[in-house]
Amino acid sequence: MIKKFLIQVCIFLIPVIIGYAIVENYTRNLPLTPKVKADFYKKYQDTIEILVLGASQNRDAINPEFLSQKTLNLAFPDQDYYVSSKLLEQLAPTLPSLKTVIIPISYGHFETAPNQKETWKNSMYRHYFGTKVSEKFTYFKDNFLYISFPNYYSAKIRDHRNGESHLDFNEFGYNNDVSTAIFQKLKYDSIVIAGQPIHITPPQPNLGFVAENAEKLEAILKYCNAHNYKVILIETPTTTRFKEQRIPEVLYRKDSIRSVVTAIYKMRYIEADSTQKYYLKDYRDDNHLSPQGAEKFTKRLNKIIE
Amino acid sequence: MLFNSFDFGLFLPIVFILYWILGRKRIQGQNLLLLGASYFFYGVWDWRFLLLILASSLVDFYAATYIAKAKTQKRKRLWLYGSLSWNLGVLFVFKYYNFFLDNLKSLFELPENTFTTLDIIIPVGLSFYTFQTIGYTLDVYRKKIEPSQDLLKFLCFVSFFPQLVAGPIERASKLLPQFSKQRTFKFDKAKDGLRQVLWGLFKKIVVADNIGVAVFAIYNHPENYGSLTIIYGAFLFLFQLYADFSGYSDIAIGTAKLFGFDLSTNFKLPYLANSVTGFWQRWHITLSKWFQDYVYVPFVRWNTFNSLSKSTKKVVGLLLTMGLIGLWHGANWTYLAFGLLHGVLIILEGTTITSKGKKIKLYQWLETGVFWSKFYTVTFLVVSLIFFRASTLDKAVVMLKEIVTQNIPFYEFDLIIDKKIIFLLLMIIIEVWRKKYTHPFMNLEGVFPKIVRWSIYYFIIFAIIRYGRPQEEFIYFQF
Repeated sequence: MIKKFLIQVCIFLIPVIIGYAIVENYTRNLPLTPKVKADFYKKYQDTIEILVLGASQNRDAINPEFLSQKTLNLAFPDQDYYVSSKLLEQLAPTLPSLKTVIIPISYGHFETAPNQKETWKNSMYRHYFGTKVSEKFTYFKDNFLYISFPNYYSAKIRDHRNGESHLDFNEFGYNNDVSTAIFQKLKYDSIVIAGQPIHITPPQPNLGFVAENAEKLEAILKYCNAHNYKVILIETPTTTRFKEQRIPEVLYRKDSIRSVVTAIYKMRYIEADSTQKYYLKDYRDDNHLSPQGAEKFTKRLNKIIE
Repeated sequence: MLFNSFDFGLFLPIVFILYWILGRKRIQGQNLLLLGASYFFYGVWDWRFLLLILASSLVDFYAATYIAKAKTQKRKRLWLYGSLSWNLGVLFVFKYYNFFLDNLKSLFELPENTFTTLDIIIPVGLSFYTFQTIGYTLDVYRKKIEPSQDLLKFLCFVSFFPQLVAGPIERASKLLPQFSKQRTFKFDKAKDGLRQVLWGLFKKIVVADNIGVAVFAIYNHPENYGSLTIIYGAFLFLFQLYADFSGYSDIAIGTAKLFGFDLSTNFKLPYLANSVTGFWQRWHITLSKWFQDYVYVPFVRWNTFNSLSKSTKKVVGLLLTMGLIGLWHGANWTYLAFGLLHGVLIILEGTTITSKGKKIKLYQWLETGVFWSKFYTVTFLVVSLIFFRASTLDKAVVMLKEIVTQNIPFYEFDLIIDKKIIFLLLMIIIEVWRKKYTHPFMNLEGVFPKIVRWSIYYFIIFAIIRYGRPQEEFIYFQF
């Protein structure tokens, strides 16, 4: 009787398993940014000299195409210092030629919640780069890509199938597509843009997060100094109206931490935020550079590194 | 280990196969396997919880043994008080101690550092298994059951993994004897169990977790929404709570069936009740029965309050019972308010009226289905659950105020979860359609041919995989 039951259950489950395997395989082969970057990482693991960490500002500002050394840009949206430190500690040992680590210091970095609730990114870092970046419990399902965050990957599958992925990668995983960028949608009309609301993070001070974020930044710097990696701390450009909306208290704390860490740790600090050399077309939105702006920024960065 | 995790999806078939293949020859073998599996299931949360459940089990096992052996009533009572002190003491320390001190401090305006609060986490399912063991000891004391002579069976009874962390709260007279009987594999029972598990998973993962997104958004920032959206959010919470908890119960009961056990029904479409009294006969039935048998009835029969009239005793007893049911959910004034609100309504519904020349209780009249009785019941439930969901009494009041004083026009309505609301409607329609069965997939053979039945199951599995969210805990685990 039990045998019959088990056989029936197995027969019932076969289509489920086959169906899921197809979806999982399809998801794993979707041309997503992390996949392109992971392929680059695997291909050039031995020769990568520069590692870029940080959030979407660094992802959009640094196009490795314009750097002389092989660069892996692992900046992804909302990547806080906690995640950056985990990535560095786990990936640096796999990069024998690594010499330079680029870390961001931005207006919002210290006052947004670190180590946030599990998102699709945790499973993404785990799946594509073999890293564990969250203290959240790793469930068995996190070994699979699709089911780790079905909502996100279903949307990606749908976009891919409908030709709405808006991805135009180079070999380094830099996305040159600007069709979904806010400023592009507003046709770079400065008057229209001036009338738009600004999305600024954090919208209010969050003193409670500062200590933990600063501690994680220090952990990154200590690690780099201990392993003789050159550190470049960068502040990417933002529009004038973005700068005007920043909360002075948050800005002051960020600048204080920056002056303390630059005094203690060996590093090069690049402040591009106050420069006037970036124009409207250099931005995707108020605090993200467009491919044109990224070219300008990365070329300048390259000169400094050289 | 959560029922809605892949980990449980691996754990269950392994235990199931071992149980029926290796342990089929001897009851002891099956029980040992169940105990090991249950302790593993529970220990995955935190192995230290095991020490507490083991200690509680031993205390009640021996207390009940000595109660039965005691020659005098005084000695019996002594053992009973010992057991009750331990169980209620554990509950108090883990669940209510910090709340008690905090309120003591604010009541007497004592300085912050007057008492040391405990930095401890509440063991999962503490209230559930503690109530189950208290019920056992009380039943032995009242000579309703004989004490268990077999420690292994008793340990299994306390820790049986399908119902360990969120019930149903079983009576020893029902569950304990099942550990003494030879369990033989029954194909139809196992099949029915699997179907019930599948339906429970759908309710939890697809319905409760997805509408939970909207509930979270609205309850956290009611100021961002119009009145209509807030009312919608309050209604959604009603269904989130039901889908979450009854989903859990379905998985628990279905899992128990796979191992040859029968657990008590915990829900009977509670929102179809026509009165608050009727609601409590359909909602978390094992808990309300527990309080009725071990708190309300003894209180009303207690000689100490003989100076009070019978009806006064009933009123006080009801308020006490409902207040305790509220507090059972957690150490917060909001839960007490929730319980007392229900208590007041149950008392009012207990008044006698004359209908068609007959004297009947108000709730009996309501239950006949007068046209506005469902509206009255659901409206009251929505309002009382605002207290249940809010983190403080103030926040509950703010939420109620937002409904009437919103500056966002009430017609600016936001579904928040878009098309996923369809799953809630689907659940309601299916449950109401199949209301005479303990779960909607029961006896589907007579309704649909195999191909349709299997298509339904595949659709449910698809929905679970596609619309599942990052693992969310069951709401009732915190209690």
